[in-house]
Amino acid sequence: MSQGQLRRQSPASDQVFDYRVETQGETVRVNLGGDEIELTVTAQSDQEGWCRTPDGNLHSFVWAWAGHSLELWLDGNVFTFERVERRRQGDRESPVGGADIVALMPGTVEQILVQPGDPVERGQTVIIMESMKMELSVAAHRDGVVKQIPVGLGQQVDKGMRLLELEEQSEEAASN
Amino acid sequence: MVANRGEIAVRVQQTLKTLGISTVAVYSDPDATAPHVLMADEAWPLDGKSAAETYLDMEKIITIAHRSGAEAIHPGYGFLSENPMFARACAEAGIVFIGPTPESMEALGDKISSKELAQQAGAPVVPNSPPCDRVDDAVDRFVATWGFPLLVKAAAGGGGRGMRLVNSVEGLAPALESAGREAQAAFGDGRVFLERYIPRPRHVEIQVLADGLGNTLHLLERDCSIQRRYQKIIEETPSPVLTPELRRRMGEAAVAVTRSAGYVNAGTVEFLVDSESGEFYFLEMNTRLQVEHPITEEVLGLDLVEWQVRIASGEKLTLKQEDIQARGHAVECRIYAEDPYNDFAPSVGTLERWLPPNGPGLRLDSGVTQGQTVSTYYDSMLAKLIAWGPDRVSSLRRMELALSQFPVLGLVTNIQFLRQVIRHPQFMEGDYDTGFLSGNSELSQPESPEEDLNLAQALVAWAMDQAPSQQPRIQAGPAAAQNNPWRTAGKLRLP
Repeated sequence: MSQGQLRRQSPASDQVFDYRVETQGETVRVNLGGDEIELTVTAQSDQEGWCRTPDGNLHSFVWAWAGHSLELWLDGNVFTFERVERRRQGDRESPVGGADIVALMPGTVEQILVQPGDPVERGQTVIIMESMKMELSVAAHRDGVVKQIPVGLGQQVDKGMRLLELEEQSEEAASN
Repeated sequence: MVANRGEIAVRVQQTLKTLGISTVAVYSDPDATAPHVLMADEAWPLDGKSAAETYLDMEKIITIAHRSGAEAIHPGYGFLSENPMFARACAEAGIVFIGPTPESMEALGDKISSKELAQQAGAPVVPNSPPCDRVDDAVDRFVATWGFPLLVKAAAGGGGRGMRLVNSVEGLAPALESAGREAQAAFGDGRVFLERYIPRPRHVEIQVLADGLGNTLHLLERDCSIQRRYQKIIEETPSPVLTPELRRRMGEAAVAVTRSAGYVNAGTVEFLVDSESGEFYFLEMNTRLQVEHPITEEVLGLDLVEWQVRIASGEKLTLKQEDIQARGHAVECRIYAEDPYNDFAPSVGTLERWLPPNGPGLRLDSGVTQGQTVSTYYDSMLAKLIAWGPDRVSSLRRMELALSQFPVLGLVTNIQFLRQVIRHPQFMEGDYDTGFLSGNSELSQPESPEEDLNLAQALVAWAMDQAPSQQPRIQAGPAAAQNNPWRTAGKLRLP
């Protein structure tokens, strides 16, 4: 028997749920936040197979680790999960309206249109990237002043890498 | 020798091998163990990562062709396939370029001169302005005549790059500038022009074949109206909207353009069909094998690459126009590493699982295998899935089933999205145009997999119970990819 907490990553919103699972041969009893589900799992290998739900329907599945995510293909749809670990003290998610402008996809920095000290407006194009032969405009997500630009022209950047940092917002500015 | 990568380099080699021709592959550093390399009789490194220092480097490619003793080069599509300088360099080096002459590539590769040529051949064209880099008199005159919206297009363009839709006079100058910049970066030619915008057109193209002895024929149409960001993702033949009369007129126009360009080998004449008036307009001619050529092969029972090779070696076209009759219906879906629910953002990673379907009428042209890493260096198309059926409904049903039996894990693909489009009532009816994807908001969300969510959660819980210690089996990131023993084993690098 094992238990834990998982987060499902979805474009709409992430969902966190508790699980407890008990496996006896092919019979798998799962408790999801209080709801009990019983499955018969016929595994072809440790990462793919079929399962039968109580209504008698068969479903095929394949799963794999992809980095820190557990990806599950089920009847033609892909679901992505990750294990919820206890957060270390001091960790915090970058808030919306934060100081950083990050790359939303990997690519190359083609043009830098602002310099440190420049004021920028929300929606203003600050950097032009090229990714898979497409030109992509990167816009400021809020008004502010450019603090620093940690990337250079022609640099290859990964998804999530910081492209530009704005000055921290003062309290009054943030509430305006 | 095949001067390309990915699925097309695999597909071309398959034909060469059936013809008893030995193959030479070339590869960039990230492609060292890609399928197109592993299947080749010989494989030569291009030393580098970016397209510019590898598959676009003419000198490296011609040097390798010489050293390997290759008699001919097939350029595939993209990269050097429509570059007249490359075709010329091959000729000068005494190597056969499998494709048209550099002269007809030049005449047809430029969108402005190709439209003039088509007009002279009697094909209807969409009105356009001369090249322009800023708002000048010619631009003002064009706007006064045709109004907004209009399109800014790159003279050397293709694949939607260097193209902008402009709705107002304020948008004109920025669009000219950014399209010119994108065109310069993509094609090394920043010239752009304006074109009248045909709302809600269908994109229908005619495949042609011409030998060096004056025989030209067309191989019917492909409807490529399902596009995202001006790039095709689903193609089918026959087109659900072409009447026999329209098909005949478009076929004749395509043959006339091909003849008047003195064109030899396989090519594709692209047309816009106005959904409302039923009129058609010449758009451009692609002087290469198209990505979507397999659907033509499936309904005609032909091998277009084989004909390309035969024509390049001077053989005569033995096919007759009256023999060209479609049998059944074929549809192609392009499998991309991208997230259709996040503005089609490209996705990178390792293909942890790649389990393609199989069954009656299915064909997969693939350039990847399980375990391969997909990087940002090249186009994000992984493979093409093609379904044939005795009629349209059966080929679409086969496609829908195949897409639901195609597990891919490790990076995000558009497979689920393609299935959503295929089963969409409007697509099933054949009632769609190039605005279909952007105009259907229900396609911007995944089709409620929420029903299966409980089961998915239960299965993941089971998976954690089975193998919780495997996390993370391989650390993500570039360092991990380098430490993967399977990648480094062949390179004799000792710790």
